[in-house]
Amino acid sequence: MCAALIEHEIYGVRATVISACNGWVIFEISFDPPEVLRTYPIERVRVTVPPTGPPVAVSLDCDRPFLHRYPRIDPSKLARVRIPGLEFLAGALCLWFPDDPLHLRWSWAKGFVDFVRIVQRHLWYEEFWRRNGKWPVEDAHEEITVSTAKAA
Amino acid sequence: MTLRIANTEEDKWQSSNTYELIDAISTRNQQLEGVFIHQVRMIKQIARHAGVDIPGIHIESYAFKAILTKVDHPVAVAAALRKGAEMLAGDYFDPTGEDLISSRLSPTEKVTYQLAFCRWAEKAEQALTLAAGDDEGAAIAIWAELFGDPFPQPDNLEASFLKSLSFGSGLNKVGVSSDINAATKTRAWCPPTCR
Repeated sequence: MCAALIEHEIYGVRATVISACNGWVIFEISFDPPEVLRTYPIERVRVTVPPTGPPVAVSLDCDRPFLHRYPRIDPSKLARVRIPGLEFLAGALCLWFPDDPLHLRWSWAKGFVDFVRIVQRHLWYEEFWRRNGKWPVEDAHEEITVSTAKAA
Repeated sequence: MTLRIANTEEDKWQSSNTYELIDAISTRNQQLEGVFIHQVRMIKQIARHAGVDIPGIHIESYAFKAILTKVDHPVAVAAALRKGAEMLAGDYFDPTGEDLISSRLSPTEKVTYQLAFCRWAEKAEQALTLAAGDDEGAAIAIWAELFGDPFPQPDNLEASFLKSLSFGSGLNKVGVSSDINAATKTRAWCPPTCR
């Protein structure tokens, strides 16, 4: 797993390891838009790979609205949420629905390059949503609405 | 072989060169490795979309004169539209060279069709110029206007591309869509607390 491999495998990517310490690796990655999305901005993310568990991707242009992103919450309230805290601390992108079956979620068995591709796709979907007001593919909005109603 | 077919309007038999016509079109299509008939259909679609009811044999004749070698669809279509505008100004034969089909059109029809072909040719040539200047988006918009619904609008291209990234396609290193570069399909979400 290294920056050069990511750049070799994925279109329009520049990747740099900005920190590697105690089993944690932090990448800074930028994605150029392809020709068909030529009016889209260059996207920049920071991907944190912890010693265990899935990586976390955070947009570096975080002042824009995002439809599918964890809210940043007070660390003292982290114990109240079901999802592990790193995503909430960082305001990470919500790349897959945790209750979906395995084939609709990323896992290390699918490789880090696959994860970076999902991040790249997600960032373009967010930009499409900003421009058109709709997510271009199916998301898990309905399930969340139902589970929230049941909880209430 | 010449066929004789019934002309029900004038209540008489008339000769038809249907087989020769099929042979001529088929031969040209083979010479152009199968793209010719597709390009003819594209030109017919432009006429259909514009509501111009010109018989197909005329469009086939313009394309037959204009598309002599295998070229990209935009170049072929633009050339055939320009050739149509030119041929409609005078007399012309069908692709067999035997039937003076221009005589089947009334003067009013010829003028109407010629104006339409001039207009379409100008737009198509404008699209070629824009594409050559790396303004593919503007070129696509013109083609979409000419072809109508069968040709995806630029906005639809964007959405189609993004959808494909969740349905088995991905970009390879040089930005070309490829099945082997597809990422795992996922469904994005957001915790209720952020809604």
